[in-house]
Order: sequence, then C-alpha cells, then structure tokens
Amino acid sequence: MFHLRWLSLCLGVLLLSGPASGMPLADGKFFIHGYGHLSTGRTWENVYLGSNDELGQHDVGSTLMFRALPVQRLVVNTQFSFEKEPGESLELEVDYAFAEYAFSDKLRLRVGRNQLPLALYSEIYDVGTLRPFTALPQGTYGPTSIGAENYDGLGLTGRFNLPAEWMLEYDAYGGFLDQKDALAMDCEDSVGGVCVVESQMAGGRLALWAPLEGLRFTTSGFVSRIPEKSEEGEHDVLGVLGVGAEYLGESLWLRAEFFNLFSDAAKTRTAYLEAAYFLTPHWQVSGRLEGSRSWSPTPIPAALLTYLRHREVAVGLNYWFNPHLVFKVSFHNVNGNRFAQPEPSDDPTAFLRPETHTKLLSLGTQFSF
Amino acid sequence: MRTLPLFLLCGFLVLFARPAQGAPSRTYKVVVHESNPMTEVSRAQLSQLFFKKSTQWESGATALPVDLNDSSPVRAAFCDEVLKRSLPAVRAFWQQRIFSGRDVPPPELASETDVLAFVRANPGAVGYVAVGTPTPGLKVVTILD
Repeated sequence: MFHLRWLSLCLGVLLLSGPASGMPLADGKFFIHGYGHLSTGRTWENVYLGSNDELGQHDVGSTLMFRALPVQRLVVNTQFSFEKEPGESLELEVDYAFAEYAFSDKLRLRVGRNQLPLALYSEIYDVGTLRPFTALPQGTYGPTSIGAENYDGLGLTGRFNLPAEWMLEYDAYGGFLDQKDALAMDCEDSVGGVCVVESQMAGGRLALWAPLEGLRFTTSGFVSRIPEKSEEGEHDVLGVLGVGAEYLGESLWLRAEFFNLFSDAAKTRTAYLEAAYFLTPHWQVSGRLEGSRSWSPTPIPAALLTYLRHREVAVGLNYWFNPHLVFKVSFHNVNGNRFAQPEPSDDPTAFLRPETHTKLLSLGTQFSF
Repeated sequence: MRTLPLFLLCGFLVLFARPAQGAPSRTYKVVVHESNPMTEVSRAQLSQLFFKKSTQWESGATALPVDLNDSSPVRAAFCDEVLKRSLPAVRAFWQQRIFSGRDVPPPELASETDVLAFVRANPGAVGYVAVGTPTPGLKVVTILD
C-alpha cells in the first residue's frame, strides 16, 4: 500500500508540475507560487539525511507562497509549508509572513517573519528546483547553528547600480532567531530532533552581482545571544561569518561557500564546492565536496572526535523534465559522524564506537510552480 | 625554418577564425508609451529593466516591463540578444527571485495585441513585439549595443 501511495503522489506531481508556472491573479496584484519534494534513500551504516539501511524512509513536503501588492510600494509575503520528516507526522509551519515597504530601490523596509538573508541558499532553503542535489550541504545548512530559514524582526534591504553593470544588494536585520543547536546538552524545544534555542540577533549580507549574468559574490553573517544568562552569569554569544560565490550559467552551475562559527561552546569551520553541468537540456551531472570541523573548548576523548568531523564527496545525476520538475539520484560518501550518526539504540557502545564511514544512495523528485 | 612557425601560427589562427558577419538583423522591436521621452535605450539598460535590477526610467518614472508568453519565438530572441540568457536561464533567475521573496517577473501576456494594449495603457511600460507588427500610437525606441 505504501508503494502505491508513493507512486500516486509521484504521478500527481508529474501531472501538476508540467504546465505549472505560478499564478498571477487580480490583474497582477496577487501571486501564488509553490514547491514540493518527495525523497527516499538508503544508507550503509548510520543514519544520514533521515535515511537508514531500509529503503522506504521518505521525506515529503510541499509549500505554498502568496504574494500580494495591495497598494503601490507595499508587498505582503506569506509562505506555508507542510513537512513530513522520517518518523514524524505531517506538520504545518509558517515559514514567513512579512510586509515590505519600498521607499525606493535603495531602501526597502521589511517587518514580520522574514527569510534570513544569509549565505547563498538560506532564502531558498527548501526549493529543490534551484539546486543540483536533493539536500543542501549539511555543514552550512544542516543541523548546525549557522543555517536558519527565517527570523522574526525588522530588516532593511536595497540595491545600488554600480558602474559597468555591477550591482550591490544589501541586507541588514535584527530580531529573534530560533537557532539550531545540535550540541546542546539540555534541550527545552526541538525541531526534527534538533535542539532549538531562541536567541536575539543582528546581521547582514552584501551581495555583489557581476556584469556577467548569473555571477555573484556574497559575504554575510550575524551575531546572536541567548537572552537568559548562563550559570556563569553571562549571555551565551555566537557569531557567524562567511563568504560565497555563485555562477549560474546556461550549462554550468558553480557554488562555493566558507563559513566560520565562533562561540564559547564550540568553534566550527565549514566549506563546500558544488558543481553541476547540463549534458543536454534534460540531463545534468553534479558533484560536491564538503568539509566541516568543530572544536570544543573542553577535552573530548579521541574516539568521539569523529562527532565533530564531517567530510563528504557526492555525485549525482538529474533528469529535468522542465525547469520546474526534476528527478534526482545521488551517491554520498561520508567520513565522520557530525551529521551521519548511529541509529538510536539502548546499547551505549554503538554510540561510543561509531562506524565513521557512511554511504548514502538518495532518490527524489522536486518541483516548483 | 622561419616559414614553418609562421605557417603553424596562421593555421592556428584560422582554426579560431569565423566567417565575416554583419550585425544580426533583429526580429523584434522595443516599444514604449508615446509620452516616454526616450528615443533610444542601451541593451544593458533594457536588460536591467527586464531583470528589475533597475525599476525607473532616467526621467524618474516607474518602469513597467512586459513580456510575451514563453512559447513566443520573439521572446526567445529577445532573451538571447538583450538579456544575454536563454529563456530557461531567465526562468531560473526568476524562480530564485520569487522564492527568496525579492520580486516577481514582469507580467507575461498572451499575445502581441495584449502587449501593445498594456504599453498604450501604462506611461512607464516597455515591451517588445515582432519587427513587422504595426504599433500605432506607440513609440519604437532604438536599441544601442
């Protein structure tokens, strides 16, 4: 029965996504867009990206986005997601809901739950048709304190046209962030099995768009602090800073990012290089190299250092029916247990002596309209 | 012995040489409202308006670009020659802008008649139609490369 439901969903996706391309309504004053994904996978050793040694674990989600322009200069954006992660029930979330008032191209004010303008992918976290692999690089966008989807607060954004067709886009923001903290010892709130800590934050991003269409360079970061004081009587403060570059050409996509995380609890450096190439208008090959390493201020037994390391090589093959619908298959070779961890068990030795090498075969389809 | 390197150099250059070509003749023309003071527009400025990297004319008026639907060969030619991207690449650019909550693409209209009506009705509008399409009541602007 499960396979029949899965196949029915796939067929529905295929039928709906082919001709879909968003819906402008009310004479261009109201827009509906959306995206979704279905994925499965199988690992050899450990649990990684929600997959284990049984093919059939699946990750399902769909999102609807509404954009309204009630009066000139004012835009209201909302986005709702239905997500089902392995072992959990389908949940409805408000990804963002914000109003943006444009004083000019150089100054726009955003208020509400905003997309976090961090790095290359944070604003398009779940949009699978804008990336070559089903999952994003885990060191930057996985269960770490770096990547987050949204923040509650106030932001300024704008862009300046520079000489010779260069353009500078900026973001500055402040407010509250639900920060993932996979290394937290005591956890009051969690999402998808990862501890979430509410924190105050301020940050920004600069994106420099080159005259060559599709090429941009970014630098972004934020500083956050937990409102409650720690046992030492101080606020826990965390800083994130990174750089990235992206080229989205006709056939070639290239992305690379490096991020540094500073805090009293741990320090992390993470980087990845991702490339994808269209062999034909439909077939795309992809590859990714990634490394992430954390350091703890307290000594950790050598056997457990693998929980602070992640190295990954991934290759993929994608078939694009059109720019709005893609089937992806990829193979991931992982060393380290930062994100690929043993299946939860009552046997503590499984945790103390983990298998450090994990292989994952991932299959999925992603669509947008 | 000197002739051999010279011969090889010429042969090498011939490999990269292309037949001489004149400027490609355009299959489209760009139209604006007759009250728009512009008589010519650079390709780069046109590209910025259609990618919404710039939203104003030099006069300060708000620019309203309008596209033909994506099955139109005129649109494909406009994308290739003015935006310097293929139509799928332009769509990918807009997907990124839409889903990052930044902007939405220019409206896509079903026919050239609709595009011409839109430009007539909006003083800041700019559109394109096939070069042979009559455009009464509208101003055709020259594209500068």
